[in-house]
Amino acid sequence: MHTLGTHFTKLLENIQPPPHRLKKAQKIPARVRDFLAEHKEFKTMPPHSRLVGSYAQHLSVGDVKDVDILVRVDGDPEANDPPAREVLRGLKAALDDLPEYLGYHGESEFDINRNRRSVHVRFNEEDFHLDVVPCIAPQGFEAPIYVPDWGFKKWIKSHPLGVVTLIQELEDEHPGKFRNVTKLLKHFRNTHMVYMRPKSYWLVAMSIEAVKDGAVDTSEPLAVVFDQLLNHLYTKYSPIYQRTDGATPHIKDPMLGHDVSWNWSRNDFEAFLRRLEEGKRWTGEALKQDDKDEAIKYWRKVFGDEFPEDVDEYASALAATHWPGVAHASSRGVILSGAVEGVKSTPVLPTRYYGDE
Amino acid sequence: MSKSGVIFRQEPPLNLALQDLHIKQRWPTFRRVSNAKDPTWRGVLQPTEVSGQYTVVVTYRLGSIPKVRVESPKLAPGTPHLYPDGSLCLYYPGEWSWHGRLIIAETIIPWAAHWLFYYELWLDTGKWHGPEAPHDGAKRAI
Repeated sequence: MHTLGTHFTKLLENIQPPPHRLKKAQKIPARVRDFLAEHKEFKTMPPHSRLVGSYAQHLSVGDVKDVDILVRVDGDPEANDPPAREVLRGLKAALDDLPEYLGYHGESEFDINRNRRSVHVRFNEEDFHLDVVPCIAPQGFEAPIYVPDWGFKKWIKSHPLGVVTLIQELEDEHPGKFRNVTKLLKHFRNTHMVYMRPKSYWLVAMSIEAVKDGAVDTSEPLAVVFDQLLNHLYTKYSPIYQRTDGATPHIKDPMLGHDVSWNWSRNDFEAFLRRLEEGKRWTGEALKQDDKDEAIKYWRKVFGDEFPEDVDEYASALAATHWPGVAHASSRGVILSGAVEGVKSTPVLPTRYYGDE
Repeated sequence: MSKSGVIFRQEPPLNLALQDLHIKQRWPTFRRVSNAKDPTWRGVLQPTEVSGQYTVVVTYRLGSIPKVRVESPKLAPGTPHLYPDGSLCLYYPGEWSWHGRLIIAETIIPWAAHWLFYYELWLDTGKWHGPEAPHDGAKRAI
């Protein structure tokens, strides 16, 4: 069995969003906060704004342009005060001036078909957009909050920061595996589905449930963990796929337990299951191969061209940056290219390996 | 070690309890699993974020040289830089030698993790990308 760790490491690098966008995602909430703090009509309250979504979860893959930001307003969600729709309209009007404030050209838009709970801000010359979600946060962002839903005309409970914390806890418990296998699941979807895609949040919820339930063994190499995840999801959802009554899965919100996939259409669900079925067949074949090149061919079916065919040069570069005398080993044994702030590690003293049997 | 940093070989070796303390401090997955004549520590190392976990066994009798073996998963046939008994060759005895004042947690275990890092690169490329001592044709057991 070839688990191709070097190939998977390169694949994960290949599917990272560009570094400049990651930097912008980190910086932008503060600038939106300053803009809204000065705004005369649309009033926010401290701490005003917070990065959420895939950039906050450190789960962004590929060309993810949308950066999600919460902005906090005062109100009573139970009494629908202020009315949910009114807040979305007010925010839309306020954000019209945001591109100019940030030194860009662009406009805000509210498209209920695209997103019922946020205002989208587009920057014409930039390769990132904002999805700004107003919220009432009675106990701050770290506790459950309420977001306005255009269709339901009311405030809906949500806990995005709880999910961010849960993801970090799962990563601490399954280091190197939870986030990476979730990113691979998203990339698998991006590779095989242009239309009818399941939402990223559903995939994250599926992955959380699988890892929490012990459906995957995270002590295995990432290739094996991913194969286990696809098999688990297929086994779990295929009974629903076999039904003839139009049923779709109820994916539970990882924090609040409600059904987050209530609007998953039967056609879209069936398309996803067909991709899962194909995917698990290829991952199974890839892991069965004794010939490394054959294994790579199957992984490229799973992950497309982002999965590298040849890693010789990449391996040389990795070796050079992790040379003994420079490298450190974390307390789990992960070899780092040097000391990393906040990570307990031991320097790897200079050595040369010997013995060739 | 003296204040000047010079190691006096005649100083008594660190006892096993001290080695154990250092190992526990730096390598939380390692546990001492034997108190008999061949004290042994077993632990888990994961050389990269995407690697599986390797169960590694370190055996060290006072007055001898620590040996490291990979217990699971089984190493691939033809793995380089192993001694005939299957233990990992972590340094070139011609240029570095073990003595009892050294700390296993600061030398042997990080080298074992590092060896695994290069082992995985070797699995994927067929080439040992790490530093190697030249071979003189003879196998030297340490």
